[in-house]
Amino acid sequence: MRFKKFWTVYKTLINVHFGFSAMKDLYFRRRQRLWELALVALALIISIPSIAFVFVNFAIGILEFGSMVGEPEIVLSVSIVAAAVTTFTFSLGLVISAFYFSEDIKTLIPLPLNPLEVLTAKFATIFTTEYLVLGVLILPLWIYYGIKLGEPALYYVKALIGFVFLPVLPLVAAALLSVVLMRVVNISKRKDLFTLLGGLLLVFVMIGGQLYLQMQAIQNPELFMEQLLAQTTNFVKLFGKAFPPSVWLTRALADSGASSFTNLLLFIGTAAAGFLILLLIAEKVFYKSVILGMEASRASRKKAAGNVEVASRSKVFSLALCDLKLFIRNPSYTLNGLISYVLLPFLLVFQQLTLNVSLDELAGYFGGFHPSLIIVVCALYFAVMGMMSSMPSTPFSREGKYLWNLRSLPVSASQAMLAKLVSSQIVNILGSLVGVVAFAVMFKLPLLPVFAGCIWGIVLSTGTSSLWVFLDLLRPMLNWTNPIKAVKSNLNVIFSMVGMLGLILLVGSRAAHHLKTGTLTMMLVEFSVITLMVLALGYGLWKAFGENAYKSIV
Amino acid sequence: MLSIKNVYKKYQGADRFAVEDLSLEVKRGEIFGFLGPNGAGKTTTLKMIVGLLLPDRGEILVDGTDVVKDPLGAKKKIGFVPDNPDLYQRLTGIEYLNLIGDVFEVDSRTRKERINHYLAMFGLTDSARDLIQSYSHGMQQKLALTAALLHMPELFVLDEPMVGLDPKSSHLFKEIMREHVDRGNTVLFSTHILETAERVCDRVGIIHHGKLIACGTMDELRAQAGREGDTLEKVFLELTEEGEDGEV
Repeated sequence: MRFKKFWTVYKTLINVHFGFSAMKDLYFRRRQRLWELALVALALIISIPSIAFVFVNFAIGILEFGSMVGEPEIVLSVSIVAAAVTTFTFSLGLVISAFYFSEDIKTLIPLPLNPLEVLTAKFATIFTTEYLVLGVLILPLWIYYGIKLGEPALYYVKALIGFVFLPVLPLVAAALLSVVLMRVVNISKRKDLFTLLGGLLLVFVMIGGQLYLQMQAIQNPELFMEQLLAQTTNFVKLFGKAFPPSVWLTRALADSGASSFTNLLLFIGTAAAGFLILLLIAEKVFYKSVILGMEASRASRKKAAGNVEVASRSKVFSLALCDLKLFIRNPSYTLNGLISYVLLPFLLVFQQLTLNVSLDELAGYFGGFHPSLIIVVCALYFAVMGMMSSMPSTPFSREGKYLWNLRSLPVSASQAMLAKLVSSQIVNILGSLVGVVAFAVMFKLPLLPVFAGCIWGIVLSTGTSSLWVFLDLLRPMLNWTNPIKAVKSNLNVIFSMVGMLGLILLVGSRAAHHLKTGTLTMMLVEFSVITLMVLALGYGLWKAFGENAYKSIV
Repeated sequence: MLSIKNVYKKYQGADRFAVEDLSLEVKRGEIFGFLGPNGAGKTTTLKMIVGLLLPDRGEILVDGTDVVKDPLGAKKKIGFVPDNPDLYQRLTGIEYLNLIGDVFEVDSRTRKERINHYLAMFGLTDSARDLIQSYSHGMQQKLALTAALLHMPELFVLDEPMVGLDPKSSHLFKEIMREHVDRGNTVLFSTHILETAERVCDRVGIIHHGKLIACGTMDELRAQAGREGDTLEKVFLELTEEGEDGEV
C-alpha cells in the first residue's frame, strides 16, 4: 500500500463526506446562507457540552455504585462496552453505505489504486466519524474517572492510546459482517429487498431485546434485582462477556504496573490483528463484491408481446406518483421514512403495557379525556408523524442530480411543490391513520372526536408539510454521493423538527392553560386559529417566494 | 423560432462570464449546430434556453415566448436532452415516459403511438418495463430522446446527443432530426463531432470564451475564416485559434 495514494483518497473522501469544499464554496466564496453556519455553531456549542454533561452525570451514578461494590472501574467497562455496541451498530450502516450505496466507488475503481488503498481510506473515513461521536460520549467519562480517582498522568496516556484503538474491533466485526452481506445480497440480485428486510430485522431485534429486558424487570422485579446484585461481585467480568477485550482495556486503564501494560498490549495487539485480518479478507473479496454490485441487474422478464400500454393522469398527480414510487423503491428512504409510523405507536403501547396497567384501566383513563383534547392530540399526531417521515422536508433534496428532469418540464413551482406535498401526505395520512386507529381501538376512544381529530390532522399536517416542502425548495441539498445523505445529513430535517417542537410547545402551553381554567372548548377556537395561521403561512410563502426559489436552484 | 439577444451569464464566484453578450437567431425549420471548445459556454447557453439557468442579462425568446417571464409557456415548446441524461433510476422506462406524457399533456392515443414508434425504432420495447437503473448509458440516452420527442416539441434542444449512441442509433437519430425539421420544427444541438455538424446542420454557430465568434452556413463560415473549400474542422480551428493543441 502506498501511503501517499491512501492519503490522497482519504482526504478526498473526508472532504466529500463532511462536505468541506461545498461548505467553503457556499459560506466563504459565495457568502450565502451564513446564518446557517452561525446556527450550526450555536447548536454545537449548546449540544456538545449538554451531551457530555449527561454522560458525566451518568458516570457519577455508575462510579458511586461501583465504589459501593468495590469496583469503581465499572464505569470504564460500561463505557467501553457501550462504545463497542454503539460503534458496531453504527458501523454496520456506515460500512454498507460506504461500500455498497456510495456512488464514489464507481469513480474510485477505475483509478490506478490498489484495493487496499481504497479500502483503508474508506475505513479511515468511517473511523474519523466514529472518533467524533466517541469523543463526545466516552472521553468526558474517562476524564471524570481519572480526576475523581486521582489517576496519574500515565492513565491519560493509556486512555488516549485505548481511545485510538477502541472502535477498531467493533468496526472490524461490522465490516466483516457487511462484506458477507454484500456478497449474499449482490449475488441474490435483490439487494433493495434485502436491505429493507435487513434494516427491519435490525430494528426489531433491537426493540425485541429491549422489550425482553423490560418484561423481565417488570414481571419479576425482585428476582431481576436479586440476579443483578448476585452478579455485582465481578461486574467487569460480566461486561467482559459482552465484549471480551473490554476487560483488557479496563484493566489497562484501572491497574498500574506491568499487568496494566500487558493488558494494553493485548488490547492493541488484538485490534491490530483484527484490522489486518479484515484488510486481507476484504482485499480478496472486496472488489468482487463491489463489482458484482455494480453489475446491472437486468430483469428476467419475458419479452413483451407487442406494444407497451400507456396511462394518462393529471400533471400534479403524475408527479406525485413518481415521487412516491421513487421514495418507496429506495430501501434507505423507506426504512427511514416509514418506520416511525409503525414504531412509535408500537413503543407507546408497549410502554403503557409494561406499566402493569390493564387495558381497561387505560381505556377508562384516555376515554375520560375531554373531546377537545382528543381532537388536538390526534391532529398534532398527524403533523408530527408527517415531519418524522422526513418526506416533506427533503423532496427536492432527494432529487439530487435528477432534478433537471423536473426543472426542464413545463411545471410551475407551485405545481412541483403541490406534487411533493401530495406524495408526502398520501404516505402521512395512511401511516398516521394506522396509529390513530390502533390507539382508538385499544383505548376505546370516543369515535367522533377521533374522526374530527383525523380530519383536523389532515388539514394541519397539510399546512406544516407545506412549510417543510417550501423550506426544502429554498435550500435543497442536491450534492450527495449517497442518497441516504439527502435525508440523514439534511439540515432541513432538523429545522422541521425545531419548527414542529415550537408548534407543540405553543399548543401544549395553551392546552395546559385551558386545562387549568377548565375552558377546553375554547382551546378548539385557538387551535383553529393556529391551524389557519399555519396554512396561511405555507400558502403565503409558496405564492410570494416559490417561483423565484424554484427558478434560482442551480 | 429561437431568439437570443445580448445574453450574459456569470457563475457566482467566477472571474469571467460563461456567456457574454450572446445574440443568436435560429430559424424555424432548420437544424442549428452549436460548436465550441470545452468550457466555451455551449451547455450554459442551452441550459438558459430550457430554463435550468437564469441569464443575468438579456432576453431569450422561444417562438416569441420569453423563457424568464413565461417559463412554462416556453418549456411547453421545448424538448430537451442533456449531455448526461440522469433519469430517475428507480422508475421503469414506461413509467418515465408516462410521466413526461402526463406533464406535457399528450393524449393517450398519440402518446401510445409515439412511444411505441420510438421504442421500436430504438430497440427499447422489450426493456420498457425494466427499471432504468438496469439500462446502459446508450439505452438511457435513447429513452431520454424518446421522452423529449413525445410532445413533438417545436424546438428540440440537445446537448451532445451523439455521445453514447451506437452507429445505427446515431444514424437513426440524424434521420429523426431531419424528419423533425421537415414537419416545421427546429433542432438546436451542441456537438464536438464536427463531421456530423458539417453533414447534418443547415447552419452552425461557433462560441468561444462565452462569445459567438461565427455563425452561418458552411460556406459563410468558410468565407469568414478565409478558408474556402476547407473542412469545418479546419475552419473551426482557425476561428478558435486552438489548432496547436487540437482541443475541440
